[in-house]
Amino acid sequence: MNVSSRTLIFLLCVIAVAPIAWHGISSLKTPAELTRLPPSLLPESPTLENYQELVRRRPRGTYYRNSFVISSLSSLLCVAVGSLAAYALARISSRIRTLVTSSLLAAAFFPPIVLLFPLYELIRTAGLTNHPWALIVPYAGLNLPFAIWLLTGYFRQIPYELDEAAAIDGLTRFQTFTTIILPLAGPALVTTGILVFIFSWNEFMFALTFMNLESAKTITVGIATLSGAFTYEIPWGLLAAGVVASSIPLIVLAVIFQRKIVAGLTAGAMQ
Amino acid sequence: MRLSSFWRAESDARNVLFFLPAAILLGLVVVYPILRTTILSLFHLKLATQFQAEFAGPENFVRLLFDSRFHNSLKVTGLFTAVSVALEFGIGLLLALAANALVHGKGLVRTVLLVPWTLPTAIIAVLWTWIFNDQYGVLNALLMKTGITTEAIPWLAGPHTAMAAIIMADVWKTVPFVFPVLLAGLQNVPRELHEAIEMDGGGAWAKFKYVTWPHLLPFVFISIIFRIIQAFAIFDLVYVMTGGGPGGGTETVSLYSYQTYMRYLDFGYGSTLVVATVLILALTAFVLHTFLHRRYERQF
Amino acid sequence: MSATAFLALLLISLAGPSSVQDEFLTVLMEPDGTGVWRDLVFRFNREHPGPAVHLIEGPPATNTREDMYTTSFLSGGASYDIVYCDVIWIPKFVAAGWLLDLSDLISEQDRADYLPVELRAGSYQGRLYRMPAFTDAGVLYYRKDLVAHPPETFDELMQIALRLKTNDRWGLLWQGKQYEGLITVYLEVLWGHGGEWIDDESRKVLLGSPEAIRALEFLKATIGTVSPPAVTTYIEEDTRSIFQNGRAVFLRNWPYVWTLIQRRGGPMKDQISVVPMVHAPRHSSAATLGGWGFAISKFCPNPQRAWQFVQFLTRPEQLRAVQQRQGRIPSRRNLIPAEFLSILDSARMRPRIPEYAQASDILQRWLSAALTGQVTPEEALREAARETQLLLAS
Repeated sequence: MNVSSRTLIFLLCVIAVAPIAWHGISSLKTPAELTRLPPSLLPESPTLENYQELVRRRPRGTYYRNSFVISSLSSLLCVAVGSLAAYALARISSRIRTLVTSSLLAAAFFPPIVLLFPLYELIRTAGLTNHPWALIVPYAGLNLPFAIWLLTGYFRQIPYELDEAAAIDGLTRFQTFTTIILPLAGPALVTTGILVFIFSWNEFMFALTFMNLESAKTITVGIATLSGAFTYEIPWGLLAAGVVASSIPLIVLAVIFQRKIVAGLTAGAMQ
Repeated sequence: MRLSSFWRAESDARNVLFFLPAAILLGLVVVYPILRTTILSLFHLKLATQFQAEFAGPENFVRLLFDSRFHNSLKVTGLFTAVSVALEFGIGLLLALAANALVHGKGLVRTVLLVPWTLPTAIIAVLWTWIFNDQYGVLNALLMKTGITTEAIPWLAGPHTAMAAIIMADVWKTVPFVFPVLLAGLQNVPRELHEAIEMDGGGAWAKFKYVTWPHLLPFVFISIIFRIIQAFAIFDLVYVMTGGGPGGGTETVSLYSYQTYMRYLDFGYGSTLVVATVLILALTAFVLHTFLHRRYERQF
Repeated sequence: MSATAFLALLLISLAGPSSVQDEFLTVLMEPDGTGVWRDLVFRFNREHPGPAVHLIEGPPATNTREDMYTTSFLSGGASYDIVYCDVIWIPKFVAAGWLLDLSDLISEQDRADYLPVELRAGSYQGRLYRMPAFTDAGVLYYRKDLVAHPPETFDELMQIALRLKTNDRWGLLWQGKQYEGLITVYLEVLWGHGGEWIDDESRKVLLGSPEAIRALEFLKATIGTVSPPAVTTYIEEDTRSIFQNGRAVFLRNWPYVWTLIQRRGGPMKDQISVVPMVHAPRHSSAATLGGWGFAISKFCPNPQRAWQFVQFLTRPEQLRAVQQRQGRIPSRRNLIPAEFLSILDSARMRPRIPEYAQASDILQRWLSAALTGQVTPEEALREAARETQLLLAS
C-alpha cells in the first residue's frame, strides 16, 4: 500500500507542476521552434524574446501595478472590516452568532454573476469605470463573508479573560480590540490577508467588465484576453510568457505562505 | 462568567458599531445587488424599452421556459458540475488516503499541490488551451508518441472533447483545494475505531466504509456543496478556453447570462436567467442535503 | 505593512485610470495585415495638424470587436472615439444612444455619390449615423471556362454543379460555419425563394413558412453532394482559397475575391465571372448587404476632429488606396467595378432591429444544428421562430 501511495502522490505532484513547467520552457522557445512537430523537450536556443515582446506590448508593468494595487487594498480593507466584525461575533451570544454566520454563509452561496449588473450600474453612475476602486470595494465585499468566518474562528480561541482584564484596566472595547486582541491575532490576519489577496488577484468576471481601458486592466484579464487579439497564427510563446509572468507572484506567495494558506482553507472547512 | 452578560453590560450600540463597517460593505456589495437583480428579473430593461424599466411580471420567466439555449446551458453546466466535482473529490480522496499514510514530506506535497489552486482560473484556461492545441499542443504530442492515439485530437473543436478539456482543467485547479480539506478530515477520524474494525477482522475497505467515510462525510459536506455552487457558476475557464463553443457545446449558464447582459443588452432577461439559476442551485443544495442527511443517519 | 507603503498604495489607487483621452482620439479597426490603415492614419496625422488619431488593431472576429465597442460605450465611452462600423451594428448602437447624428454634416455631393442603399444602411429612423466607406453584397462566382450559361435558378445551379463535379473539383462552395456569414448565405437563399426572416415594422418572425424550410433544405442538400462535408466549418477565406486553386465550379462569396483574383493574375483571372445569386422561379435574386463605414461616438470629447478624420478616410483617394491593397469595394459609385454595380445597388439589408445580435445568434444556432443533422430543417426553423418571436415580443 505504501509503495502505490507514494507513486500516486508522486504522479499527482508531477501533474500539478508539469503544465506550469511546460509553459516556463515554452516561453523560452523561439516562435519557429514552438510550431515544430514533435515538440522539443528543452528549448534549443533559449531566448527572452517572448518576454521582451510582452514588455513591448504592455510597458511599465501596467498590469502588474493595477493588480497589485487593487489586490493589496482590497485585502487590507477586507481584513480591517472583517476583523472588527469577527471580534464582535466572537464575543457575542452563540445564538446571534449562529444567526449571523448562517446569513454570511447564505451570502457566499450566490454566484458572482448575481452581483455583476447592479454593481456595474453603481460603478457607472458613480463614474468609476476603469478606476481601481471600482474593483477594490467589490472585492473586499465579496470576500468579507469568508474573512469573517475565518477570523471569528480564530478570535474565539483568544481567552476571554484578556477582555475582562482590559475592561478592568479601563480600556474601551475598541482599545481592547486594537491593543490586546489584534496583536495576538497576527497570524490569522496574515492568513486571511493573503487569501483575500489571492482571490482578488485571480478574479476575472468583474475585472473584465468594469475595466476596459488597457491601462486599467489587471494582469489576469490582460493576459487571458491577449489570445483573442491575433489574426492568423496565435503567438504561443508570447502567451506562455504571459502565463508565466502572471503566475510567478502567486507561486512565490504560495511557496512562502503555504502553511498559512492550507491552515486557512482547512480551518474554514472545519467550522 | 457569561460572555453575553459582559457584552450586555456595555450598551448594545457598541456591538452594532463593530458590525457597522461590515454591514455597510456587505449591504452595498452583496445585499443590494441581490435584491436589485431579483427585482430586475421581473422587468423588461433593454434596448427595445430605451433602457427604461417596464414591469413584466412573469413574462421573462415564461420566456425562460421556451428558451432552448437556457435549457442547453443548464445541461452543459449540470454535466460539467457533476463530473468535475465527482472527479475532484474522488481524486482528492485517493490522494488524501495515500498522503495520510505518509510519514514524511506532507508539507512538501502540500506546497507542490497547492500551486495550481493559487493561479487565476483565467490564466489556467490560457495554459490548458496551449496544451490542448490540436496541432502544436504537448498533450497530443504525448498521446501520439506513447501510441495511445494515432491522430491529433482536435480537443477544443468538438463539443464532447471540449467539455472533457474544460473538466480536466478545472479538476487540475481544484484538487489542490479539496485535498487538504479531505486530509484534515481523515486526520480527524479516531484511530480507536480503526483498530476496533481490525480486531473484528475487517480489512481496509471495511475500515473505510464503516469508520472513515461516515466520519468524513459531515466534515466535507459543506465543502462539497460549496464546490458544487462554484462549479455551477463557472465562467472564467469557459470564457477563455472555448467562449461557449463549439456551437454552444460548452456554454454554461453564467456565460449565457453574461452574454445576455453585455452583448444583447437585455438586462431584465439576464437577471431572470440569473435568478432562475440561483433557484435551481438552491433546490439542488436542498435536495442533496436531505438525501445525504438521510443516508448518513442510516449508517449508524 | 508599513504606513508609508499603505499611503503610497492609497495615493496610486486614487489616481484613477492613467490615460487622458482629450489629447488623442482612438479608432478600433480590423486587423491591418496590409498596413494600409496604419499608413492612412499616419498621413492624416501628418497632413492635418491637431490631436492625433491612434489606430488600435482589433481582433479579426467582428463579434468580438462589436463587444469591445459595446463594453466601451456601456461604461461611458472611454475607450474608442471613432467606430469602424459594421452595417448590422447600427440599430443596436443608435437605439442605445451611442452614436452622433451625422445627417447635417454630410454634404449633398457626398449624398449623391454614395449608393442609396448604403446611406439607408447607415441610417436609423431617418437620421444618418454612419458614413459609408466599403460596401459588400453576396455574389455567385463561376468558372466561365466550364459553364457556358450561368444558372439562374437553384435547380439549374444544382444540375450544373452535379454534372461538373469531379473527384478534384467540388460543385459549389459557400460559408457554413456557425457565424454571421452563415446568416448572410441563408438569407440569400431564403429571399431567393421568396421567404422572409423578420418584418422590421411589425417585428413578426416569418421563419415558419414553407419557403424558409425549402431554402434550408436546399443548403442541406448540397452538403456532401456538390459541396464538401466540411463546408459547415468554412468561412470566407477557406472557400476563396479552394476556389482560387481551381478546385470548385461555383463560389458564393463577397466582391473582395474578385479584386484579389484580378490582382493575382494568372490563368484564373480570365476563367472567372460573376453573376447575382440564383433564385427560385418567379422570384428574384437577392444579395445580402454587408459593408463597413465610420461612425462617431457620442462620448467623443472632440467630435470636430473625429469628423475631420472620417471625412479624410472616406475621400475617394483614400478609399481607392484601401481597395487596391485590400480588395474591398468602396461605396462611392465611380469606384465600384461595373460587374457589381447593379447587384450592390439592389442588395438587401438584414433586419434593422436593435435586438439583431440575439436574433442572429438564435438563427445561427438552429441553422447550424440543421445543417449538421442534429435536427430537421423544419424543427430548426420552428424553434428558431418561436425563440425569436419571444425575444421580440415586447
